[in-house]
Amino acid sequence: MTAEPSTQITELTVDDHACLTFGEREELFDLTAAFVRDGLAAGLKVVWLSDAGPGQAAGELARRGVAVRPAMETGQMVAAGYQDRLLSGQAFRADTAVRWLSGQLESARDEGFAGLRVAVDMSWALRPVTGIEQLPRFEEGIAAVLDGTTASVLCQYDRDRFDPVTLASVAGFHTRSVAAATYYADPVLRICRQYAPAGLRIAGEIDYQSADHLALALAEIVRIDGDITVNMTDLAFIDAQCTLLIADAARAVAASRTVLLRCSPEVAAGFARLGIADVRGIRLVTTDGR
Amino acid sequence: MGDDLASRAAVPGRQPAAVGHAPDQPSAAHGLPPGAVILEQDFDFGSLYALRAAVSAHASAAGLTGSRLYDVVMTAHELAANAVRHGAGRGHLRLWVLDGILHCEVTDAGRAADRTAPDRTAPDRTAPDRTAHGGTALDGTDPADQEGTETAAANGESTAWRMEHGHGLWVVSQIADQFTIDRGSGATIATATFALGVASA
Repeated sequence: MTAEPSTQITELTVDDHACLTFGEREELFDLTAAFVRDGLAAGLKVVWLSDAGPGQAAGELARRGVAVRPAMETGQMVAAGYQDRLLSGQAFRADTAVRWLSGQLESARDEGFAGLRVAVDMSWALRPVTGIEQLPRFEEGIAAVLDGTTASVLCQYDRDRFDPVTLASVAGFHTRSVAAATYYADPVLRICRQYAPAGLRIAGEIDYQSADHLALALAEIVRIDGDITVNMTDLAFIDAQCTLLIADAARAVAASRTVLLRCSPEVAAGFARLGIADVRGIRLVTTDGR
Repeated sequence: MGDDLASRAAVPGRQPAAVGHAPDQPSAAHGLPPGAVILEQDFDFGSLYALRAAVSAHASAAGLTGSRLYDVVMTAHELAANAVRHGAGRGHLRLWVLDGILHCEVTDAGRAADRTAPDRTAPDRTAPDRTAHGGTALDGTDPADQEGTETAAANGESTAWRMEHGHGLWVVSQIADQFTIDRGSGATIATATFALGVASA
């Protein structure tokens, strides 16, 4: 299995109105980090609306190698909640929200930025909010505002929590659909690309029955330029064979660049048993077992 | 599991260091006091995930936590996977606690019916250079020092070990306090023990 045909987060252009679907928070933060990173690097103003306060947003982005604090201090990056932007109390009005976006566009221009990138975590729309039926009108309004500008908007939908009817009703207003390239997914295992920092993310439980999928994914990510991260923070179990596969791939790559293996202490013990912790170019980083 | 592995254990001079009783002795699970057995479960190719979940829940209830708990789950998985891939294709797992020690026992009927039956899983094409691990499963020694043991095993046996076969068992030998494999009357019984009350690393 290779990557899905949808657009990669790194391929978005200046006036895109993209619909991102994600399966887990880790995936959302990863894709958002890549969106923010590329926006800041291009000299754009970047705004991210989500439940995460500025502190948590900055922390999540920093953990993925995106240094946003300086940009936040200069005003190039804004991480904020929905209140007074998309929502007024428990009420949503499409025209008010679209007006907020127009205002952002204007101020970005006034502040001298080359353009604007806005990411909106749409999970607010799952709450008891009045006016939610105006969601398609909001998406339509965004498309109209962006037309002919140098602004892009990334609407982020949790594909497990939004019903298919809602997703279908808003899909048509987007110019692109974005998702993490997925090598394999079933109810207990997900292997997908990670974008910030670049590499692979493995979540759930993996054993020899999925070794072929893992081998394929590893073969593909070692072709990424630069350092590679294998994010296993949400990997609850890995058997001996898959541990060996990742260790072998890491050893092969480590000769010329750095490979970061991020995992729980239990999973790390499996790599350490293979002597991985002592290999130059491989960093074994344990997490708090989240 | 273990046709080849059990035969291997009987090769003169190649006795595994951790064997606690001779291969022809009955399983230690016989004659257990009531209440000692905390889990009994059959497994096959499609139920390894469920097996791991059950082992984790019951080993946790028995008092294991953290890396020690993970090691028990890993052990149960590797022994069961070995039975699925290299033995009868299915087997039976039993966990019991006796004198402060948790025993994880995996029994399978071996592959006596057809020793030449093709493996149920595709050969591991990605790490062919790791075959040397195969000879180390019961030695409890560093695989890096074991170049050539595969040959010894292969010469003595009709069935050569696959890399992943030996590697999984090698891991078990590294993480269990004791690890034994018995083969008697056609069945193979692998048992690993973990002392309770040992702090997690």
